[in-house]
Order: sequence, then structure tokens, then C-alpha cells
Amino acid sequence: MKRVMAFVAQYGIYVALAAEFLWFGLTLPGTFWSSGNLENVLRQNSFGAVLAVGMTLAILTGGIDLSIGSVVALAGVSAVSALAHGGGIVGALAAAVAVGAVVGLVNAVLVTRVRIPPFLASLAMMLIVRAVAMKVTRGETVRVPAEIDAAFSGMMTGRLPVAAMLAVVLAAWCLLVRTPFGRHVYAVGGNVEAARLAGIRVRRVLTGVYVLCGALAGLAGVMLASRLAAGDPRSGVSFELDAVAAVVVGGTSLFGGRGTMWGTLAGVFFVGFLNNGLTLAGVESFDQQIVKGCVLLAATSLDLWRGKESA
Amino acid sequence: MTLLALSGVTKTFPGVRALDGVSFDVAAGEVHALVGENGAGKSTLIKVLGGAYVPDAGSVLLDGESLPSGDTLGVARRGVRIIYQELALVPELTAAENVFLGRELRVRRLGVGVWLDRRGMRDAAQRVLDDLGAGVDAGAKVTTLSVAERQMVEIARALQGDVRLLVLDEPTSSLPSADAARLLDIVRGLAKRGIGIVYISHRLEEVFAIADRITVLRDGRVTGSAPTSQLDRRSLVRLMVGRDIADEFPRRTEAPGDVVLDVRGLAAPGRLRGVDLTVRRGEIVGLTGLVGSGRTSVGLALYGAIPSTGSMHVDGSTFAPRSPSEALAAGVAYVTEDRKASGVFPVLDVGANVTITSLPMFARAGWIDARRAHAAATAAAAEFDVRSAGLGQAAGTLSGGNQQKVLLARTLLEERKVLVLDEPTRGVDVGAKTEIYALIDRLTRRGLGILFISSELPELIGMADRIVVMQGGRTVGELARGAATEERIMELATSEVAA
Repeated sequence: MKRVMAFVAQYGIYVALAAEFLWFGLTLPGTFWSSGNLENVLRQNSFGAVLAVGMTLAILTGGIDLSIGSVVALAGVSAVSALAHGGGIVGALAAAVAVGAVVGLVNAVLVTRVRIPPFLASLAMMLIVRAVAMKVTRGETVRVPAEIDAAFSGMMTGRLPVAAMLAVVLAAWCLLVRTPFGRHVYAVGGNVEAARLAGIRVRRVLTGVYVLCGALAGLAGVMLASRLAAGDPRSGVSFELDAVAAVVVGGTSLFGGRGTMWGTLAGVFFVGFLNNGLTLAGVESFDQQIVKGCVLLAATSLDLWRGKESA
Repeated sequence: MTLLALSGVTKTFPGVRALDGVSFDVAAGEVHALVGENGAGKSTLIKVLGGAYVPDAGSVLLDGESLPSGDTLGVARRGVRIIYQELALVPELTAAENVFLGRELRVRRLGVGVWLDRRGMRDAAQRVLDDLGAGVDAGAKVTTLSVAERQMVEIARALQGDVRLLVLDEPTSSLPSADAARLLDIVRGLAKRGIGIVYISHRLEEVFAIADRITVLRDGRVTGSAPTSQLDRRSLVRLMVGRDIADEFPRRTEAPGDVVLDVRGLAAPGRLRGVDLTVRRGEIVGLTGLVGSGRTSVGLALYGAIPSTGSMHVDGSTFAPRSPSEALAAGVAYVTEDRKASGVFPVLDVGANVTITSLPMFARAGWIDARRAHAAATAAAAEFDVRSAGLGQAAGTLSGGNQQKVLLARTLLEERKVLVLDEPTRGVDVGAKTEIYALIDRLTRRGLGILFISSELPELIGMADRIVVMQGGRTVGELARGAATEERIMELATSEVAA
């Protein structure tokens, strides 16, 4: 029984994802498994996955970054402005990622130097960044210039967003598992005192994490802007919470130090397929929220239970 | 040849002289034990040595050259390694990753050298672990390892690079005795390789078994230092504890009444393995033992705060509390050793702190009669001699002694039979201590049975009618008032008991 529970806690999300995939496929014949639907779900969740990768890094250190939803909006607006000023697609991408990285750096300074808890620091930045996005656009959606609209919006229609998502997850996995920096992320989240005594520069690790998290939110912002063919200062609201939910469902501990990128990817798509399947099955959107809430509670209970076992 | 030499090291913290002109040296290949009571200054000394603290005066030399003070990494680079009592491993990383934490081996791949050399680290860590005879798989996650195995990982980590001096702080405090014996063998082996060892332990048998020399610290000073062959257990204990007991204790006159608390075979998984004790009405029973002996666990088990098994009776009726509220209902109360973390509510005022657990007493039809509660708090604060700027002062701003009195007032607002006091004078200054002792004495005249848990032997000898000594989660002996001396208590607390 103990072994079964340990297995569920470690690989449960993959089993759950597979079970969900089978269940919806069999109960919704002809629709759920259609290639059009599957591609759509992959594309729809691609920027959510990019956000969740950044959030995984923050949560692994025992922190959190609530500002990423606002960063998505500001980065989207910045990307479209860059396009409008003739920066091209590369310029748009650079602008968005840079905006995200700067916000991440501010978060990092607040957390490591001013010593504000990450929850509060990033909550404040969430408000400020959102307000900046509204101010610079005066609350209006910024349109992509007509002559480059097709090229920009086209990015999100093909396989590119899914490829970008997979590249980000793969790179993040390499970073976490194959580089000293990645191992230090686990060390800081798992036992910050041990990390310090081992000579790890804890502040540097945290700074890297928040800058990466912000930059990834910037990337997600371009992806969303391309999908919308516009920079919307109202976009990205509560995306940070969706990301937290996906990360936790994917088995990462909110206390830090434990979790994997593949788990996060599975968490994103577990929630993504859940939304999709329930919609296809005609479940009302309010009921969908209830189901999602219950899934989150189940995942968290499992995490708490596991924490107790290893203590 | 002298490897390490500390001379005249002094370190002062606000209000405390933690180290006062301490000199201490270690030769290469020597095991030098450092002993002393809690608070004697051992930890401070290690921190100065390791570069975590900058001493106010004195020098720390390794091979005749001074170690960089206040620079832990610089000290580590000179070959000084410290293994702290609290193991410092990252749970979700493997043994090998922990061994190389902060000094990871890298490998060039895809044209860049940022990648971890996982195979190399694993092989190298495995070699070190095998050399130690640790039987630990270097690829195993730390969460899956036992305490003894984790200790081996710590040692393997400390042995990375060029090691000259190894400091072990209470390395066996949480090890079963077979593992502890193996650890001693390993330490001996390391000394044979020429590494200087500073060995800190409360277990005197171990110290005599392994040390070439022993230095005793008390109140921040060296009270003795000699080759092990010139010391015996008795003289060592005297050097550790020998201080005068001032006349700060009330004269105990109360003759104990009937048994109010009877405990037989109390056990709690991982903490207690067999505790027997009785407390009579009007009696103060002292309970002591070294850190990790299970003193506090006894209090928590009696209070229903941790699950336990065994036979307990209060006033002759079976007592098996599953929660603090059940214990309180049976008349057993516990006052925590950690006032700040689990005692007072710092932002609430003194009055609220006193009445908060007894509010139903003052309720009429569900509404609290504030006037009655206030009156009760006023009376209790007066009775327990709480000195505050009125009941409205926030409890967190009171001195430690007054916080303790607030807790006593709260606990005894309702009628109790047995009171468990856990380190009631920790962090309390001398004057307030005497007041608290007098209060405790007065409580026994009400017929209360008191279990007084303390690590401060002078106060137990001064206060308790009997002293029960614990070791390794069980009671190992009992000393009557008059027969109890610090030496005898320490002997019981550290003697080798068949497991």
C-alpha cells in the first residue's frame, strides 16, 4: 500500500494524464481524438506551458512569481509596438523577452536584496506591471500593422508554438538536470542552509531563476500577442494562477526542492485536456471550474502526504 | 607537530561573553576532544574556527599561518572541514550530488563546459564512500538514506579535496550505538591518514575511547586540558559542571501526598522507548537527560501532543490522552520550553494571554463576560507576580521571566492536578529565575504534582524532591534529594546502557 502510494505520488500525473486521455477519447468518439482537436489543444496550451516552466523554477527554489500574467500583457504590448516601429519579428521577440527579464530582475532584487518574500514582491510587481501596460497603451489594444499581420499571426497557427514549447521544456530540463545551476536550484529549495554552507551563491541562483521566469513570461507574451494578432494590456489575467495550478498538479512541491519539468508539462496538459474534454462533453464552464479546483486539491493533498512520509 | 593553534580567542555577544581567552591546539593525526555543557561555548568556538564568526581577540593559525576570519569558503579552501550536528544535505539530490554540492565536476559537451559530469561525480563519490566502508549507493537520493548513511555522505563530502582538519560536532548524537561504533572506527582511520580531528561529544565513553587529548570548556573558558590518559570520568565531569550553587532555591518543606501521576512503559515511536515515573501530590520531580534523550517528548506525550503507548494513571484513573484538550480535561497541563514559538501570543495583551484557553469559563449563553474575564486575569496576574504596564501590554514585549509567569497564570487559571514544566527558566535572567522557583514551590502547596523538565542540573538539584534521569528515550535511574549531585546525574545520563 505504501509502495503504491509512493508510486502514485511520483508518477501519478503521467498515469492520470494517460487515463484522462483514454477516457475522453473513448467517451467522446470522433471528436476528442481527432487530429484537429489534439493540435488545437497543443497550440492553445503552448504559451501556458512556457509560463509553467518559469513558474516551476521559481517554485523549486521555494518561491513563486505572481507577476508573470502581467508580464504577458506588457511583453505582448511591447512586442507589437516594436513591430509597429519596424523592429520586425526578431525585434518584437527581443523586446518582449527583455521586458520580461527586466521585471524578473526587479523581482530578484526585491527578493534577494530587500528580502521581501517572493509572494509579496511578485504580487506588488503584478499590480505595477499591469498598470504600466495599461498606461502605455491608455488601456487600448495595440493592433499589429496590416502589412506584417499575416507573418506575425501566422507564427501561432502552424507547428511553431508547439515546437517552441517543446524546445523550452527540453532546454529547461537540461538546465535543471545537467548543469550545476539546475542542481543548485534544487539545493536552494531543498535546504537553503546546506546550500549556503556548500558555498553556493544563493542570491545568484535566485536571481537567475527570477530573470529566467520573467524572460519566459516575455516569450509567452509574444506567443499570445501573435495568437491575438494584437497587444492587449488586459490579456494574461490570472495566467500566473493557472501556471501555479499546472506546476502543483505536475508534482512540484510548493515548499520547494522537489519537482520536474516533465511533471510540469504533464500538469499543463492534464489541465488542458480536462478543459477541452469537459467542453466537448458539454459540461458547463462553472462546473469545469469546480472539477479543476478538485483536481488541484487532490494534487496538493498528495504532495502534503508525501512530504509527511519523507520527513 | 601543531596543525591548528587557537590562542586567546575571545568572542562577545550582547550580554554574553561566549568565549573568554580560549586557547586550543590540534596536532596532525591527533584526535582532540572538546567537551562541556550546553552553552559552554563549543559551538561558538567551532564557528570562529570555521570562519562563520570573527573573534573579538585572539588568533587562529593553521600550519602557523592565520586562517581568514569571517570567510567560511576561504577557511574551507585551506583544508578545514566542519560537519555540523544538524546534517546539512539537500534531500532531493543524490548522495554524489551532495558530495560535490557547490564544487560540481563539469564536462565539455556540445562545445561548452557547462554540463555536469554526472558519471564522474558518481564514480568519484562512490570511491570515497567505499573507502569509508559506508555501503551507500552514490546514486541514491538522500531522502532514501538512513541517518547513519547520511552521516557517511557528510563525511564523504568533507573529505573532498585536500583535508587537513576535520571538526565533528556531536556526530553520534542521533546514531544507534552500532553505527556510532563504526563511525568511531572511521574517525580513527582518518586520524591515521594524518588528518587532525576535533571531536565534540556529550557521550563521555566515546570521548575516552577515541580522544588523544581532551579539553573542557565551561562558561566560555578552558577549565582543563590534558592527555586522555591523565583524566578519568569523575575528574572530567567535575571540570565540566563544577560550579557553585547559589542560595537561590526555596527551602522545600512539603511532604508529598498520594501518587497523582503514574507512568509505566511509556513509549512513542522514534522518541521514547520505556519511561517509568511517578509524581505525588505536592511533589516536584525533576526530569533530565542529554539533548536527544527524550526529556521533552515525555512532556509532549503526557500532554497528548504526540502519539504514545504505555500505561498511565492520573489519580488512579486510566489516562491516555490523544490531544492536549483531553490531557487538560484529565487535569494534566504542560508549559512549553519554547515560549516564543509555542507559548505566548505575542501580539495579544497580557489579559487575553491569560484567559484565552479558559474563555468558556467566562461565557454566558455563548457570550464572553468581559468583566469576569478581566477580573480573573487581574487576579491571576497578581497571584503569579506578572510585572507589566497593566493587562493591556502586548505579551511579546514582556521579559522572558514575565512571559513565563503569564504562561503559568494561563495554565493554572483552571484547576489542575499535574503540571509539566519544560525548561521553565530557559532564557530567564537570574533574578526572575528565583521568583519562578518560589512560584513553583508555592504551587506544590496547593497539592499540585509537578514534573520539572530541565537540562540545568543546579536548578534541578535545588528544586526537585527526586530526579529522574533519561538516556536514549528511556528512564535509566532516579536520585533522591540529597543523593543527587551533578556528577551522579551526568554519570547516569552518559553511562553506557545495554540497548
